[in-house]
Amino acid sequence: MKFKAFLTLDGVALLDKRFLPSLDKIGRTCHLYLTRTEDPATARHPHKPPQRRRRPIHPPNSERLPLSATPHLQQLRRPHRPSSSTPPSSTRVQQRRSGAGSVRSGETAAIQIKLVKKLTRGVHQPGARTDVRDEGAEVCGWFRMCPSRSHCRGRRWGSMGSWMLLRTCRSFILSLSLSRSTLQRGIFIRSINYFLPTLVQVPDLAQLQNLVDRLKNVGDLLTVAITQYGDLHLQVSTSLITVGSEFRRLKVLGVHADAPAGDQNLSAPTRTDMAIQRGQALSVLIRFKKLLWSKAFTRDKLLHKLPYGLFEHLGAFAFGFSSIRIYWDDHASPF
Amino acid sequence: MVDALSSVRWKRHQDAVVELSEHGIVLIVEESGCLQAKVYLKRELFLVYEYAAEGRPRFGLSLGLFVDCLNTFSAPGHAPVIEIRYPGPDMQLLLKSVDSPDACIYAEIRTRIPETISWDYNFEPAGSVPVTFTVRSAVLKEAVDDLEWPGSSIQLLLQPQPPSVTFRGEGHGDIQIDFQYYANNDLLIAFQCDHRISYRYKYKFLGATTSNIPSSVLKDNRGSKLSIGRGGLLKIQHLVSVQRPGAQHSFSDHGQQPSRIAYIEFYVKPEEDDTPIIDDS
Repeated sequence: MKFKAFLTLDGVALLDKRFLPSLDKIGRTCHLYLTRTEDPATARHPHKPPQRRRRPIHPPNSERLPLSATPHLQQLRRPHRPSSSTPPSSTRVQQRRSGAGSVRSGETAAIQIKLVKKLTRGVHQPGARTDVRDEGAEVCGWFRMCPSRSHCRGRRWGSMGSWMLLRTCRSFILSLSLSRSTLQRGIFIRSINYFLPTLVQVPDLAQLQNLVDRLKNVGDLLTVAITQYGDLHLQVSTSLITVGSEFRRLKVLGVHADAPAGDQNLSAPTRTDMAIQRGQALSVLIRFKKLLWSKAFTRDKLLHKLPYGLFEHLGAFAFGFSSIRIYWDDHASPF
Repeated sequence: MVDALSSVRWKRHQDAVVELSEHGIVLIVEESGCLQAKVYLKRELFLVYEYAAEGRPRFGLSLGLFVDCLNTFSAPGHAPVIEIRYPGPDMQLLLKSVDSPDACIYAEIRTRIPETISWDYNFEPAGSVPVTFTVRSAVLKEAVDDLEWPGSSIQLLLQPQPPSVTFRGEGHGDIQIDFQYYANNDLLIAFQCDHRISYRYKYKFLGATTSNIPSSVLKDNRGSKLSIGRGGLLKIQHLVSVQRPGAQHSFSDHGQQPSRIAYIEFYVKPEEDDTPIIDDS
């Protein structure tokens, strides 16, 4: 086994309520980037499964294992849901099934992601798959589903000794490990290198959207920059005018850094440039006409459907994320 | 302030000249050598006004960009405090909101060396008594809008007996709009004319003087003052309320203080081939 990871309930909730709905609207192909470090990310969808407990990984020749998959994300979401209703007894079940090492005492098992080799029907060579398993309820059986088939086919029930366990498992076909040349010429490496796993919270999304609407009158291209110490910087610049807005000390989720002392009095562009040079900021350039799409996406799909959790306003996150996503997706011609 | 500047923006891409002095800021816009507009922003309109230049610095900029830029600073229900500085390191006009230390909007507008104003003039009375009248801004705008239909040339006629003002357009059709001073002095607020006088003006210039009157002027039921000077030069003055941030309602019960008013002046040259009708009787 090359990869195995567990998601906590919080992680599942984040994945289910925030990331997957977003990803589902953006694209179908998901590039997985499995690393030994604590900050793995997917390239095309630059998000990591958050709050993993344990993840033994043994890539043979590298610290990285790049793969691509085309899962139907709605199906990927499906097995996550029963975990939220997992009864307390499931901990005991899980411990008995998997041994004391897989889940620490007192914690509730949720989703297990595992890289496996499986034989696909009609194919003689086993191919790589990732299993997304929900092991929880002390009920009546297990079923397995392959996303390439209909929901009903492939479902079967069985017993697991004297313990009856509901186990949902999705297997997604993965590509072979992507070659170095593929990585170097594609968007993969670029995205990984430039991805900033930092989310910032904007206190007033309506105000931000209103500001963007007005900036649209000034120019065609918008620069969005986010720093790891909670700066959000928007700027429109033409040969005749530069207009920008800077928000400082926003709440940060993800990788966080302390703001350097002594640059409080610097201008917003200077602060952003310095942060980029230090590797503490990401800046992207977006066309306003593409931003309109992401705004609609933000309003409809995130704000209304995800009013929960750590951040009440996901505007900046979705805003920045969508923008970055648009930019990298058109890798041949960014605009 | 945006309202005042918007009122002299009659096309999207329009250049302006800004003149700074110890008394305040004057923004000048010119069109075809026949129409000129000035916006006077007196120093009393600003929370703080610091002036340390010698002479009167002038610079040119794009009025459209300036207005769009100022609009970026404003948010619904919020009147921001904006710091405006000139010159910047590269002779830019610098703007920055200073409301909050953790959120700011900034702008840098590139300026240019201003072109020479093609006709700087002295507005002098046409006779011993200034020829002038004051009409409700909303009424003036409505009348000028109606005059769009007939054609490109509008005749403005003032006569003392009976005291009246007549706008007449001839072209595709004829239209005449009369303001009788005694008949309805609620519309024609003031009238001063000791001789019959008539000039023709191009409609596109006349229309520009009222096309972007701020809605606040119309709501406040303000008057616009029109004067005809020597050579038929038409001067139109509007008054625009400029509210101080955080004190929007301070003067609501007592009327607007004079210091909270921005003055907008339009100067329109008459058509050259027109022979003025002057009757000293």
